[in-house]
Amino acid sequence: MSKALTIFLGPQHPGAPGNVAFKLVLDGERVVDIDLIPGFLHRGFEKMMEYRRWDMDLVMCPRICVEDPDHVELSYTHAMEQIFDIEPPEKAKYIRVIIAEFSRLASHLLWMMHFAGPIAARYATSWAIAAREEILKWFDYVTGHRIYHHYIFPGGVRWNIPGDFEEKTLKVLKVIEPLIKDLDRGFFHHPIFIKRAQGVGRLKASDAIRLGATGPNLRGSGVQYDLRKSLRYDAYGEIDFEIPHGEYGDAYDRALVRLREMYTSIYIIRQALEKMPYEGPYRWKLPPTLPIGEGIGRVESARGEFVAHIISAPSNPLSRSLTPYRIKFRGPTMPHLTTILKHIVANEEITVADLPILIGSLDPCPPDIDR
Amino acid sequence: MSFNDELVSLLPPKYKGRLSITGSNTGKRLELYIDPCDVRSILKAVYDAGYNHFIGITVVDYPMENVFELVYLLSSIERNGELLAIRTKIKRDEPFIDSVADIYPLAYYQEIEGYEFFGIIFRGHNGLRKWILLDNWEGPPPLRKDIDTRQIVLEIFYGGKRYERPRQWRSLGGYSGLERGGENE
Repeated sequence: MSKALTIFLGPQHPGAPGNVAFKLVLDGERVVDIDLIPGFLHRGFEKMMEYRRWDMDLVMCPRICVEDPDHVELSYTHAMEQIFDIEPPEKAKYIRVIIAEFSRLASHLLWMMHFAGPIAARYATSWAIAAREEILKWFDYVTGHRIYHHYIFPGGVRWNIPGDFEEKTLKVLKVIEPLIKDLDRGFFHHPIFIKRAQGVGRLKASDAIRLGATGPNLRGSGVQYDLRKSLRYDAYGEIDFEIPHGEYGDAYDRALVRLREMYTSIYIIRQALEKMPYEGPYRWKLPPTLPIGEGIGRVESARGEFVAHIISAPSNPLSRSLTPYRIKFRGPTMPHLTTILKHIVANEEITVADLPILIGSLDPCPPDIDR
Repeated sequence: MSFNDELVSLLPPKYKGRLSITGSNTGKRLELYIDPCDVRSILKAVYDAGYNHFIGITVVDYPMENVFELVYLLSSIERNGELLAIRTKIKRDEPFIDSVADIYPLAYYQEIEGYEFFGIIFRGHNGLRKWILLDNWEGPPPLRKDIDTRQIVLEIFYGGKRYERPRQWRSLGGYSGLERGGENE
């Protein structure tokens, strides 16, 4: 073995996925070992939330993962609803499903930037961003905000839906579906892309489970596990859909799983619009003081399992609490960038040129490691 | 949800009756209270019973009772995502517990978090260090309840006074009230 070379990748690097750095140990071109250096976006959310009221905490939630903010809100909301011991109204459950699926679509479309960018397929990136822009405009129309929506709220959803909700939503789907089909034909079946991505970063199903992978990265290895199906939270129990999964577990399979998930999301939104009750309440009002209790909200976010673990205990024995005692968020990115990346690099010949494709195919969102 | 017979058979006899089902909605779970000295043997048994997906460790600090509570969240992919919470309590002034990083690889990084945010020493862990907080934080473990991070931030960045910024001398083009120092003088 020739002399090993240590270099740093990121955080100021076009190939690095957001605010995170890597320490690479190189033997010639091959990456022998990779270490994650997180913390560039650490804002101490868990501690800050202990100082603020529970409804103010909800506004901080989406800041944890910029690309897929609504699933963080959803996990927080599920945990809070367990503490308050309430069920949201039927209408709110369907609205939540639609919001969450649009968030998943927007996140997968933004992921094209991390994935197609390093392969220099800029056309795919701009096409995807054009489709995402339509979704952001839709979010602006429904919730009043483009990026962070604060729309899913413990007890239901924050506002009622507008009068022309159904036709506007169908119109957005009509615009973005052909754009995704273009991406399907023009990028995912392009011979150069297939040549670059196939066989890179193979992850066996048993290893994926052992190392803690969730979401599309786990399903890309052939494991059909989806919390939407297994927990049937909100209105997912009444909606009929299939879980897309890969077979071989390489970067190409993981990419195809995400592409098929975009079609699945559109299918789910269409179904939810049909089955949704348009009459009825959209939110139960909750008291300002928190009951004592514990809640664990688990949702299937665009990247995998997102868990909010909230404990409500009186910090002062004389007064009832307005703030949660402890909040812990577990994002899906930590296993993907630590254990899985280390495992793949140790067992397969990954060169520096393949590394952006491998990291991109894992779809990381580093802020949910730092929090 | 029902009790997993395989799990019950693999548990040591003194814990057989301690399993309970709690929670609702997505947080419905099996719960088990254990003694901190048994954490390795229990988690090994749980792994063999099919709970192979490690979610995380939640550390909760109770300074009044001199206790750190550790909640190990695990789930089983074969058993349709069933959630299992293993809880244990250690003394706050002697924060030592055995590491489980060799059973669950992801626990390695979750234990580093427990070390840097709460100062818990995981025995047998070979890489306890500042990881997320590296170059971000000087001082005691910040997520402990008796550490007032707001006070520390005020002292470092605001000179100990409440949100009073230092007087700004640079001109902002004549449009801003900050030009006069930001305060009424």
